[in-house]
Amino acid sequence: MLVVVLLVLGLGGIVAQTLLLREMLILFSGNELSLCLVISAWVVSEALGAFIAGVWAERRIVDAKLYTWATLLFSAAFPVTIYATRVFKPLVGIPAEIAVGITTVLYASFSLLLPTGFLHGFLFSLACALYARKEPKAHSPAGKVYFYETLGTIAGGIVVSYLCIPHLHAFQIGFGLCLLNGICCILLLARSHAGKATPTYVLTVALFVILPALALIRGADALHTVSVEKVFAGRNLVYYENSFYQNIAVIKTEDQYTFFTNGLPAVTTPVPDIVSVEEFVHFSLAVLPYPEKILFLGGGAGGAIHEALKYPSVKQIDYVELDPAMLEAIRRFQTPLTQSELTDSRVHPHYLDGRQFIRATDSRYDAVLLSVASPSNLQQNRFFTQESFALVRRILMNGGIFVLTLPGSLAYYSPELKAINESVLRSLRAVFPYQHVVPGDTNIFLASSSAELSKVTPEMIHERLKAAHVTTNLITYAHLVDRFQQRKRDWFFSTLDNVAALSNLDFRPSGVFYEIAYENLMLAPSLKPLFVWAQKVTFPKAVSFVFLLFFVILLLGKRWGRVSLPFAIATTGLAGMAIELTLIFGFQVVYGYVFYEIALLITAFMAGIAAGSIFVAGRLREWRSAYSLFLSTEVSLILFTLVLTAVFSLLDSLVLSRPLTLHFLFLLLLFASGIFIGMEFPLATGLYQSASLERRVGILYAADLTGGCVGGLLTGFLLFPLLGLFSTLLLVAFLKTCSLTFLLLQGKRGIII
Amino acid sequence: MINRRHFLKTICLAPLALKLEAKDLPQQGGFTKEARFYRKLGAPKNGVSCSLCPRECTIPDGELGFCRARKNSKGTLFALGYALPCAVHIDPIEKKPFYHVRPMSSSFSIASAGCNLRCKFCQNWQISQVSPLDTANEQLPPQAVVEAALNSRCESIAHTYTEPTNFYEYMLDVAMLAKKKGILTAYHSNGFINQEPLKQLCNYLDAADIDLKGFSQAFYSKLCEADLKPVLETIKTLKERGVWLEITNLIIPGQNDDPVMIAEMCTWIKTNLGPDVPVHFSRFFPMYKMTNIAPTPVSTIERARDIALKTGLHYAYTGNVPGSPGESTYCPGCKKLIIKRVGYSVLSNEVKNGKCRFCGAGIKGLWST
Repeated sequence: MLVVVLLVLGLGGIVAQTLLLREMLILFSGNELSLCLVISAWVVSEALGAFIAGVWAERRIVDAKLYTWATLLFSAAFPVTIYATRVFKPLVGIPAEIAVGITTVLYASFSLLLPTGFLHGFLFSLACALYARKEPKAHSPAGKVYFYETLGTIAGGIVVSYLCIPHLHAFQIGFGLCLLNGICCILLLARSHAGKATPTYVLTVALFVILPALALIRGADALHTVSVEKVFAGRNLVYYENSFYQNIAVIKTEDQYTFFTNGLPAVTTPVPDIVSVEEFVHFSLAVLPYPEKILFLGGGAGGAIHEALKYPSVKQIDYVELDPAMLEAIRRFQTPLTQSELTDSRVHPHYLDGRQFIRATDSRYDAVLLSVASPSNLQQNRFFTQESFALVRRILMNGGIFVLTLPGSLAYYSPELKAINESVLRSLRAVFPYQHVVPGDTNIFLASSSAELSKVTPEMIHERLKAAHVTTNLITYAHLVDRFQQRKRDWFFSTLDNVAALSNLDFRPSGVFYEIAYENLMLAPSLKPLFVWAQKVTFPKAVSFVFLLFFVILLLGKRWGRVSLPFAIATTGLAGMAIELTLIFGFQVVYGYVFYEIALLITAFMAGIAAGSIFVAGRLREWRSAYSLFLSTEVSLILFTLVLTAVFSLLDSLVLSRPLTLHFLFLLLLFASGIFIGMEFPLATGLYQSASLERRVGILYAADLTGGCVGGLLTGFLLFPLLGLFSTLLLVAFLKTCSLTFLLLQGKRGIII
Repeated sequence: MINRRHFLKTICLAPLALKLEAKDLPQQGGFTKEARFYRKLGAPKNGVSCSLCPRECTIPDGELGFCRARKNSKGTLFALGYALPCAVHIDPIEKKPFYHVRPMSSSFSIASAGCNLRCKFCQNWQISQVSPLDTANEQLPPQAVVEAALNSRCESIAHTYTEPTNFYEYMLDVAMLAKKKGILTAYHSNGFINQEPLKQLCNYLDAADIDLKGFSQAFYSKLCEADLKPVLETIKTLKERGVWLEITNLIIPGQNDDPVMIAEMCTWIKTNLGPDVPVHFSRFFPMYKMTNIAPTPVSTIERARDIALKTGLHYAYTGNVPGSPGESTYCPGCKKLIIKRVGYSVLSNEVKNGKCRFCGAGIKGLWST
């Protein structure tokens, strides 16, 4: 029965984390940094809960009743947090239309996630103590609990992602979890009280089983409706759904439909932003004499495809959209504009990741139009890298053109705005010998291998539009003369003089950093110095910092003793998170973003953790020197990190020569990296004999989570984008080397009595 | 006697003081123009009271005003943006938007950083929501502005992009010189300025486009951190002083799109300014901090224009809706199309000597000579 409780503990944690993360992404219209902050808030809350429980429980008897009360609190906190997240903005007086900055994301994440995260971490430490009481002969109760909890996490991740989210809303899932927790606790109490109906038993039945059941039937839908209405207060919400990839909402204002994805407007019909749509399409297609095959990546419905269809020479438009639910929503609320786009026989939608499409297609195109607005997160940034541009060049006809847009200005460029444009422009120049920029409030970049692009004039475009009998609302000859002025181009390029921005690469996605810095300037300008400082971080400086950290820890070790093991666990948590992100991100770069695949990759990592923890937990008593084994695990992790750099350096050739092998290699590497983390935790709890079980589990679990939190934050936001993948892995290897050195210097006296 | 607490406090604050001091020093060649419209509050604190705009900031020594464009340095208030524009461009006059001022002409457009409002939907936030201390600026004295405008064959100099009230002294000096050279001075403003400086400015202004952001105090408080009443006073004063006036109203869904509010605004315009003040109703797109919102439906913009015309205003336009009939000018007499526009482009112009070519009715504006 206790094993079932532990499985449900793991399941509950991943369900809560996944659902709350999705709600927060909608609330914050999240980019990479806000995503990292939200995850960090969860992890820190868990770490705090685990640590506090460790200290609090060591002088108490942890029994089923205590565990039940803690579970009750966790079960109650979860749906309350869902509601609080949705109504956060009206609750604190922020108008729904206003975006929030990083400082708001930070305090909102922590204040909203603290109760649920704290209680889940609290439960973990309690579970270890409970297990130790139930199984006094177990050599590594924490290891066993870690193993079962991880299994529960794997099962929960699969269940919530594949079964729950597509069919149930968050409150239904939340109350379902309450019910499940309730049933487990009742059974746990029944076993411990041998079937006697104590007051606690009866109260638990009422609170955990009857109330959630009633809530599921009567209240969940009402709560969902009320909370969603508060999110879109004052607006006519006609559609609200969660797909695998995102939240989609549709607002109707008079005769206009606006389709929001994760809280941001994406498509407006029947009249889109005419200036943006017409310039994007006609400034590119009218450059070509007879455009026949067009590819739209990442968007197009809602105006752009309609404009492209005006050209009589167009025979085929391939439209790549990752999320079929988006087109389903657009079809549900059709207007003449979208109907003309989506029912035209020349338009072929493809529901897959754009990078995957351009890698796999054998077609060749006259024009490839990238409809992704900017590199605002790692997913979107993949379309703005040098490697992606090289893939696009491969699928262009001779004389074909590639078009993309970036944020711009006709008045002034801040350093942040300059950096985004310079970064992508450098990558573009590395692939396409000819570029033409049309500066504006949105900059339009045209790129080609053909010298014809350098001959573009307003007269040429005007004549081509006339010859093709293409009529527009905006594109007059005077407008073309104004927009294609050499003076404006000269000014644009002069603003980019001496801008020290890194070119945007797959394995050094600097575009994300610059975009986040630009968005931060809008929403939290007081943090600008932090971003300015971050850009000065180089690999030698990062190594020096790690060195400094090592000496500080060394001094702390002399003062307090026994910090080498928590430090090792924290750095392993950090390394594990960095390696996991590296492998998942690398997979996406190669294969594209596919929801099912991502879930499989995360499962492989978690399975590795589970395998490692149970392997050690089951055999700990046999080894004479668990300490030597711990050291060996540290060394193996360092070597593994170095092996990864070699794998990534061979990635391109492996993709071409052994694609299937590479696919399985990713899974294997994730599984292997999970094993190291899974092994170290139970080893550490077994070695760390100086404190009670509750306290040492609390300390080590907190260290593990803290390391993971820091690793996630630094890797996604700072190390990847600015240092690149290889430097990040080398830095991680160096950090683990420092941790190993510290362990060796402190020796056994620093760990075991 | 220095105790440990005092010692630690001094050590901790010293680097911070050094940092402020470094930023406090005027840069070589800039930030040396004393502001107008303020009074010194004297020792010991050396504060100043600025009276340029209705905020009437009391600025302590070493601090910036709310607009971030004025700084008190030892009891003297400096106009930081004087002769240091961060944006210098040549734009079609229609972009400002001025539809009744020298159609198809170029306007030499300048701005220094800063603004005395905090609009959540600002298009030029990169330079309006910062100080001239934070932007990369050109050194362009007033004479150089006028010469550059002449050399570029611009018929006007537009003080625009940010809030020109905050580089008042610069604008005034440029306007004085421009007047001598026969170049029009255009002012695109939020209208949040006190009467006295406004009246002085009117002596040199030829045209003004005022952003009447909404017709309720609630809107101004919620989305701009400002007040409506001073803006209305500014509009009336400009009209009384003979400055050519056009009004822009950016319609934001759910905020200022109420037909009743729009009708009240149009009635106020007709009653206080007359029927010949052009009004531009612009379509809003998500911008700056207002990103979680749908764009304005075109039907809302067209309805606002209808309300304006039914109220009796002669010239009501739609903005950011290319291809809309509302972009063009129609004779209030014979109702014929007299200026056809698409975006910022003028495709035909039937206004001759300020009159409709078809029926001879007077068309108010500052037309080409």
